[in-house]
Amino acid sequence: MEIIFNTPSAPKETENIENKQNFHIVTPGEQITSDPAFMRGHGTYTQEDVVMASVAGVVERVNKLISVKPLRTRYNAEIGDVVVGRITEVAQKRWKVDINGKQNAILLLSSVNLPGGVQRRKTELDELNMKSFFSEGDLIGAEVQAFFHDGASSLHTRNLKYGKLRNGSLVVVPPALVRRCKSHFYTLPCGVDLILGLNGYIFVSKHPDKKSEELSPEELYSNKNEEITFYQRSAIARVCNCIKALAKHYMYINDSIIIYAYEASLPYKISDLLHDDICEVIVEKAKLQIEMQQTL
Amino acid sequence: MDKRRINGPEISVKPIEKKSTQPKNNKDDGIRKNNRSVDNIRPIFIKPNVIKKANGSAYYEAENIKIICGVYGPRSSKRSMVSDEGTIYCEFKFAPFSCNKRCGYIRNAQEREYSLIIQQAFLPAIRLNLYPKSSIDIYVTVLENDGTTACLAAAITCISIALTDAGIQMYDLVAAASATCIKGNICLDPDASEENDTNSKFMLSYMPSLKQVTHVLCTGKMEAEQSIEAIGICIDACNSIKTVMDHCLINSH
Amino acid sequence: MALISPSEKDFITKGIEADMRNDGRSRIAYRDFTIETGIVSQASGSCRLRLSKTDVLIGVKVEIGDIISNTTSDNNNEQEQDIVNNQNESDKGRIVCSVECSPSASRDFEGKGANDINNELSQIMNRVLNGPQGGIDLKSLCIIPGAQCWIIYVDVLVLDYDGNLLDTIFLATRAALQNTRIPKTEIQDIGNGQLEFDISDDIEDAEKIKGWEDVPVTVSLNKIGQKYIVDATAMEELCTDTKIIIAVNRNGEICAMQKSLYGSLNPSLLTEMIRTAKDIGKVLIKNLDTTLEHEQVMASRANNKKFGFFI
Repeated sequence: MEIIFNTPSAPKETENIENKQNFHIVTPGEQITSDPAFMRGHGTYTQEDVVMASVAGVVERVNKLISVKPLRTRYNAEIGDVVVGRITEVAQKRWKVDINGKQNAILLLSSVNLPGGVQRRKTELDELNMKSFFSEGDLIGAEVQAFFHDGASSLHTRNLKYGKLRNGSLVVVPPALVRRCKSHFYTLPCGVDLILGLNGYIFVSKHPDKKSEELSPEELYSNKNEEITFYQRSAIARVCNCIKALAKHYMYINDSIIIYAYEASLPYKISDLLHDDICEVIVEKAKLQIEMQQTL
Repeated sequence: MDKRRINGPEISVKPIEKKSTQPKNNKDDGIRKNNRSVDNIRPIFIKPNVIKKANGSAYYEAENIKIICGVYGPRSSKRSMVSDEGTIYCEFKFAPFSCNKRCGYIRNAQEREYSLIIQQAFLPAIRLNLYPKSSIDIYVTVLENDGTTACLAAAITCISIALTDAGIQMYDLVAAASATCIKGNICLDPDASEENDTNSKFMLSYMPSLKQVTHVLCTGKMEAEQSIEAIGICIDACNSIKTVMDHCLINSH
Repeated sequence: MALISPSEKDFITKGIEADMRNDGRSRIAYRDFTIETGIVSQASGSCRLRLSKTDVLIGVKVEIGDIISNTTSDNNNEQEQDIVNNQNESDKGRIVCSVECSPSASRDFEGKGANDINNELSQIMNRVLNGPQGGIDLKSLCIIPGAQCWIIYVDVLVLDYDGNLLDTIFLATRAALQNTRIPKTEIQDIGNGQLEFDISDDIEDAEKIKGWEDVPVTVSLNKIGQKYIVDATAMEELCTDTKIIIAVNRNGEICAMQKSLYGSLNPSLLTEMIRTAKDIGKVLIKNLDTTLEHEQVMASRANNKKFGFFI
């Protein structure tokens, strides 16, 4: 068996990207503009009519809105975001969910599908049986519905594509690498389902045999996994490693770059994808393909 | 400085012992002292229900090892978070007068580690899913120590009887045996002098009916094959200890 | 509190049975290590070892201390007292290990929980390293028999955690001890049977610790379902019901063995684990030594760049 001990080596010089785009990077306390016409967004504050940055990051300007996007931050929820979370606590009529944000999100009992039909009335029995729906440690896919006044987000799983997650494993990446797109649920050509949570939690699973509409109420909240073949398991492991490689090189994560990275990784063994040098090769190839596609 | 008790003088020195000339072994085995054979375990006496106030208790004696154990529970524990299973809490302590050198009243690191080991040895054996949100508290005091590894093994055996005495449901009794390696032979149940002479100490706790090892602890250099041999020998010893335990439990009723 | 869902646990367990773990490794495959020695200038020897996200920093300091034999009763330093209870020779030095898991490494390392983990790890280290099985020649640490000796303090700082802490700690300890240099002492007899000694200030004169090549490393085997794995990630450790830690030295001898966690196992599985651990331990030591030699060769060249925490 092979056990490798590396010694640290000097990082490669990053190529000069000044000519590609004009990044305006600011640090806290730096003045951005003193033009009163601009509205301030996240990451800024005013001091005597001057807009100053309150985080270290890149200045983003959308029409008249100036905001500073920090280089690394905890996930900030917005209404309508698709997130993957883990139940941390079962409380009175609600669950507390960890979504990698500043606070734990809340999933109210009234925001989940109760077995027995969509329009069923909530009974006292449901409150006592909350643990049979979601218990501590479960992974769920949900959407941010609203905010409480203290800033905690309120989630709901009232769509059949949300709910308890099974048949797969979780990959955690920095939240900034997952950008908002039309859909966050993908099925890759290798037979792997992907849920790209905007909070940086990505769930890679086997494409289910049964569609979520066909699931009976008991199966909706069951913890039982389906049968997963060796080939499906290796595909899931390969995709997980590709996502981790992309995250290590700070590439934006979406379905197309994952597919390119997957194809680039096929010549290698799955466990080889954990080595840094092979990661670099795959990420470079995927980057090239993305750029080619963008120029088309 | 222990302010709750009247302490002895700050500096106390053990009286200087004259080095005794050990009589040379002149028996056939020639390996162990006191003419014990290689697979000899000191005769065990166990008596359950010695502490009336506790839910279960047991007293264990084997020549110069004397251990007493009390079990409380299952009782509701403040420590428990909402959990589906009960928890085990164990406190293992050498009495100050039990060892060659006086031990303090406060548990030292070794005793805390032994407490953790005992807890891990019993986790597979007790049916904790029947006692949610409760805690089973085990308190062991070693009254006389003649070989630390042997004491640990004896404590585990003693606790099994105490748990049964308390009526706590278990999958199987846990028996434990200790061994050491003297001159290339695996010798069971070492006493203090044998332990001090050698560096290798081996302790194994085992569920005889289910044939599962619940804990193994080994210190000192051994060949891989020797440690495998030690495992086999200790398992046989545990099987015989189990018959003693059964005998004691049935007789006490 | 680290949590895992029942379906993830089942996914990991079935994956291990099929020999395809979550990251594609086989059951006996290790992740890549990154090692660097000699990065703490104030310590007599140091090493930083990273295994994926698990990050461990070892500092070794050698100091002069009194030889504590069984005739003194001094409860002040309980850790040293415990070690001495196992030794009654007056011509040996000793090794004192302590592990501290930084609370920034994991939520589990905060408050009271940290004390238990620190104590458990320190005790395992002391059990393995103190004594002939630890490899180090304790007699060579004695300066004046019955009076003064070298004490080797091994302090472990856990900076980040992603599973397999103990293996990382022991490999780094072995590397740090290889890196440690003990100053030379000269003993002078000033008459009346009294001895004094002088410590040489010359860095070149410092010598390696005798017996560092025999320091064992540990192999942690986690039993998940009916199979076992080495080098578990944090998620896989949450699925483990029984963990066996086996310390192996370069000759393939078992120096210590301990079970932890809440499960039980078959004696035949235990036997198989011992044999596997022996093979893996030997490979670990061989590869570690090769890398350390390579590092020394690079260091002796002109451009001796230490990266430390820069990378």
